[in-house]
Amino acid sequence: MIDKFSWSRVWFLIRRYFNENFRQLSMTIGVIFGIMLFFAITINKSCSDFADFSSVGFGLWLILFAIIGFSLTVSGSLTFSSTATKPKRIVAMMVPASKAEKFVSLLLIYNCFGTLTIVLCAFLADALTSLMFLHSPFFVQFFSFFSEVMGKIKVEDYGLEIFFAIISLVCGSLICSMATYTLGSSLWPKKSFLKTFCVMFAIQVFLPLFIPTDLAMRLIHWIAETNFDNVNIHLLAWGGIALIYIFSGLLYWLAWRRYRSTQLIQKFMMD
Amino acid sequence: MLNLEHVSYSYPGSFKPVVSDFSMEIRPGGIYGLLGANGSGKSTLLYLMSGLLRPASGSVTFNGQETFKRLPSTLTDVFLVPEEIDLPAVKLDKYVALNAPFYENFNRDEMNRYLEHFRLDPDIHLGRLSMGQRKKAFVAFALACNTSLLLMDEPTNGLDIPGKAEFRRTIVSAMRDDRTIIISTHQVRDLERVLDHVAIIDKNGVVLNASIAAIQERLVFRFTTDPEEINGALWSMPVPGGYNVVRFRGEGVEETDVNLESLFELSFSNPQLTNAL
Repeated sequence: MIDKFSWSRVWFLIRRYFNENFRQLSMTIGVIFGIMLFFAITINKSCSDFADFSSVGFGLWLILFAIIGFSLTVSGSLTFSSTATKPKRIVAMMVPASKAEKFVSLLLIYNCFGTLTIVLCAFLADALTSLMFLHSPFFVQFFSFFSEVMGKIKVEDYGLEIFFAIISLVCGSLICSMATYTLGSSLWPKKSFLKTFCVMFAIQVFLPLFIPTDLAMRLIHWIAETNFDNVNIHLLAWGGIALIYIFSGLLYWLAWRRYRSTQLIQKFMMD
Repeated sequence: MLNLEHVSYSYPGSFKPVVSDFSMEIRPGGIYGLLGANGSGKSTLLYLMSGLLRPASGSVTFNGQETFKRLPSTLTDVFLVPEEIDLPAVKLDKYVALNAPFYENFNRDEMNRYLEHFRLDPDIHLGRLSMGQRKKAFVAFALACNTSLLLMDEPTNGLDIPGKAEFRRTIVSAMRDDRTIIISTHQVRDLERVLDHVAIIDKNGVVLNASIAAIQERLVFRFTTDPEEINGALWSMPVPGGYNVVRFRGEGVEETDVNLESLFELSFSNPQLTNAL
């Protein structure tokens, strides 16, 4: 048997995982779809015109987007759930495949397939609701609204660039939050979502307290004094977006480092 | 085949080692019994052997490869039957179809034969079995994978009385010259007449490591009702209705079966003697 990375073994792992956890996966997808359908119906009852900013509906549509984001983080936090208990960990660790193959297969299942399923659930919930209320599907409305808005914005004819920048920013943010919860799952396979959420919350609350006041003041002064006319705003924007992707990559790399060194018994896994 | 050299291991957050400077060599072929009291580190040793744990110092190698790396080539030739088994709620056929491709030497006919030994129908659903039946099905799969090294942690736990006899028969029938089975247990009676080799361990390392043939050559194990026979015995223990006695085997004395319980007690009461074995 070859020890180098084999895609056929990755395929065997994915096939095995889907078949052995079919019931659990179907139930999870069912719950996500149910929640999305519930919100889609509520939204459609409240508002039929997406473009109306003043209506309550617009805020509710944003909730649907938040649910998609939330579902993605849940999916990320389930990535290493197969190693949550000692007997499960033994089975997962003893399967004759390399650590990299197991890691890639779990990422494909929970990050790639998970994302596709969640987006598909959202589309389906929206389409189903639209059939019930005889409105055009939300996503169709959303994209037509979005392109209409983009057409109106003419910032030195950079409308298309802004469109791609926003799309890249939204995707980058979702990937980054998914990567964060994937890393959390590698650290705490059990109750991963809750633990990662608490840590993220604590970081957001307490981190500013550890930033030295003079450093913060100097940063504020720098922003206030900088003449942004001389700064290439496009470079700054795309640089910021690129940073999000680089940071996401770093989080995945840390998750891999943690997964690679997984032992049957180790800190954070005392089950 | 499997080498443990000066292996030490402590659990995370603990400074007290579970295994300390442990060395042992396992050669191909035979059924090894890894015996020890509760907490002596039997399961930890099996986990170290299978690569599920990384030794703090020393090395564990299987055919020259360090087991903690868990390379596919190592994992395809090592199978671990843990004490607690996690099986998916699918039909056995499906389980085999999903897991057998990872094991190059898996043999379905052999598996059906082992299932027959355990009186299990090949058309079973794993989600509808009792704990003992699940264990039997998993042992049948493990044996059919035909790995060179098969590690079993307390395999008779959860098996009923006929199940234990079936287990012994199945293990013996599955033995080949190139296969090594290491069974860790504290239920020594379940493995009598099955083992080829015994390793008794405590927290400080190996107390006894000898083949059953070598033990039988040197010692005799008897049950007696005569209190006089205790005199001059290496070890004796009152049991209901008499005494279990261990003596040196003199010339012309007939060979006896090894009483693992008596051997276990003897090895702790007389470590120098057992080392000489």
